Amino acid sequence: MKIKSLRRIRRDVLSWLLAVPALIVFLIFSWEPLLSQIYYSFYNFQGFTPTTFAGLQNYLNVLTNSGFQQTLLNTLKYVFWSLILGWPVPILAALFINEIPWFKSFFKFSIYFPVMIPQIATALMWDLIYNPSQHGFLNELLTKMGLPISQWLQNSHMTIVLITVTMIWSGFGGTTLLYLASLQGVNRELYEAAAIDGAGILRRIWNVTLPSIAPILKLLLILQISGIFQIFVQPLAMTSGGPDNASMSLLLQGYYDAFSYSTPQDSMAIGVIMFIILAIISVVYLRTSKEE
Amino acid sequence: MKKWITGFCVTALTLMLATGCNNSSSSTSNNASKKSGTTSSSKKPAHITLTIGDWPTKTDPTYKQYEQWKKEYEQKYPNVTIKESPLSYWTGGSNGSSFYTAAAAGQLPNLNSAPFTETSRVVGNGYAADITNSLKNEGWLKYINPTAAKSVTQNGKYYGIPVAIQPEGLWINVAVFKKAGLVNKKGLPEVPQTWAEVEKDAKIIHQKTGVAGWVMPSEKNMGGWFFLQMAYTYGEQFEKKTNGKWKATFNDQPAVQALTWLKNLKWKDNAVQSKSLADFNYVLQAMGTNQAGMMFGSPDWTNILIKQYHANRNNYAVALMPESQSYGKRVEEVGGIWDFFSKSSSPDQIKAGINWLTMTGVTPFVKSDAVKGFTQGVLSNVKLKYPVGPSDPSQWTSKAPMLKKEQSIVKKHINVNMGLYQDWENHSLKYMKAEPPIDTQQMYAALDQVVQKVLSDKNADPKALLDNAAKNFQKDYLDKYNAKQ
Repeated sequence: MKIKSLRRIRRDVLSWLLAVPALIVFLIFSWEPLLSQIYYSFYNFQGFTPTTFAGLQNYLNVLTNSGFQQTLLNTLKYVFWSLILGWPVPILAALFINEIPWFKSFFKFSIYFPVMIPQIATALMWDLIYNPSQHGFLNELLTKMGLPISQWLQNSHMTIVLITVTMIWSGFGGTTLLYLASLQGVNRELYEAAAIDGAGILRRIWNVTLPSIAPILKLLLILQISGIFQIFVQPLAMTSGGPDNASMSLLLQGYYDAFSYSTPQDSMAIGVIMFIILAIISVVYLRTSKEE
Repeated sequence: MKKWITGFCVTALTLMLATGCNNSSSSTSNNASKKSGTTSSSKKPAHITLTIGDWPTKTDPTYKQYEQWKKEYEQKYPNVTIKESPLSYWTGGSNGSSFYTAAAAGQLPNLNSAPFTETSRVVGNGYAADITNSLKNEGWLKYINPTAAKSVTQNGKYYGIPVAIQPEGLWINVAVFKKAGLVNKKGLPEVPQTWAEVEKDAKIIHQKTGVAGWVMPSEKNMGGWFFLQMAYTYGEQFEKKTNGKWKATFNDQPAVQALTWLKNLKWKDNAVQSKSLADFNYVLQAMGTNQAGMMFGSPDWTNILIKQYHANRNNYAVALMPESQSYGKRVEEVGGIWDFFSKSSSPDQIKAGINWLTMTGVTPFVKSDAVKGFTQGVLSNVKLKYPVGPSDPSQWTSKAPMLKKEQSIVKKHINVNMGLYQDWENHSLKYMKAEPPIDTQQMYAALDQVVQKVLSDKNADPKALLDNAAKNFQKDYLDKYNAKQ
């Protein structure tokens, strides 16, 4: 038995060695910061130096802060609108590109082009497009169409939706290519069989295409929820969380707590709260996937 | 064999990664120089490295002047090597995020600059060295302006040196005023003295030129800071201490009046910029490109417009803050810049830093290198076409020998029409007021939201907005502060 185990170890040692660098990187850049954050979220700070143990006080400070509820609700709204507006778009784009017989490469490049632009540049560009003055790009279009101009980002009812549109524009290209790759793997015979049974294009998409790519649909859904929940760049660059905290997100609030208000303990508490929420969502997803 | 070579390479890579992440051998310039900065018992002075922050980049027009100063300094003090650091509080925006990150990591240069608004944060977080004894040894303490001293001291200890007092006033774009017909026969703007006059002029500017009569930032705490200065002129006191407890009081009549003025200017007179979410760069750009008539500002802000937008120094006038009918005072918030030493700086480095400041003209004493340094600074501004002539209250008392010398040097090199600063030069009329002491940045953030709401919603109720902001600020910050005392 002992000899067998030694042989196994000798056989597997190279595999473990190959995995060690990645494990070290993961440990240093993912686990250590997370565990440190959880640990220090229970401490008071002077500047960025932990001082005395605070227990749950930092969490109480964050949860009872007058702006926290709105900030949490804003973050959930970002997720909601990104699912409504943003989740179907790459699927439809991938289906379109998959079906068209000509200029596939051109369309692939076109939809991927926004992904190549840095997020800050995208945010600033859209901030200009949404300029509320008479001469803002969109307002000029509205004026030419005989419509009244809009306040765009300055309208607190529209801010989150408009920022979501910016994110969708910036990110849907990458997701589309992933769906496209998945679509390439769908068995052609299934389409032929469906066609023989008299299924039209919509029925083929519903009954063949979507079930075939269901695993990647679910995976990208959970990744999207997780990614959008951590939205930061766009509200920082476009609205600084305004107007009147209408676009403030949890991560942006954490950033301000750490770097504008010198209360890193509150920032860490927010980070841990976000981690708990995302962990619950991830566990639910993994459980439902396992059951299926 | 191939397997073992692969395994060896992987192991080597892993070990390299592990040692690369080891921080224990890092030596910052501060630590290294701290070791070398200790006074040795030998006759030769120990070699010191002095890292100076806010060093201009190579493309900055003041870079050559700094390099000249560095060369002269190292010639005079051969035991000191100056190390340049571009780290600045103002890097990346006005909230100092890069600066405070470096401070937290113990990576601040020896000598740093920051605005007066940051004193409590810098000192409170332990980033600044106590230099009371150093200043006493230099004989500087008795010459520091008491108003300025309040901004660099805590519990009677000096944590820095005020290098400039820069109160804000009413900043006027002369070209816009001219186009609106608001100049006199000499072509100088007819300076509004009250808020009612500012409103009238702003309305005329918008009607006659189409540009905003008044611009106001509303993001990144600048909206709150601007609003504070406005409300100060109505007699507002934002935080009051009663029976040992701090209370947020910025929802009373003076602040409501100030906010109502702003609301009317926006929605009744249509004289404020269309962008209600405006950061400081936006309003500076508006002033620099003749898209705005007025805002708050100080004479040295014109330098930014000249540098970034090739503006003309004679296109900007600065006057005292307008007064309100109810309060009747030209109130100026005490703004300015102070220099401080990082906590890890040795006494020798502090001494070397004070010598550097002297060489660049920051000293209460008339010394040949200080006079030369100050003159070089003035000539550099002349060369860069920055306005030379308008004065600010000095960081030194009237008894400081250098004060008269500075004034005479500036007078010799005036390069701007001083008629543009006639109102500003009435320093005796200035009623100086310090900013509130507790959680000021958080207060500005809360007031940002109030300003944004007033500028984006014509049905906004100033009283209700301020009541809500004061209530939340009291609950979220002041009550917690009071509980800790």
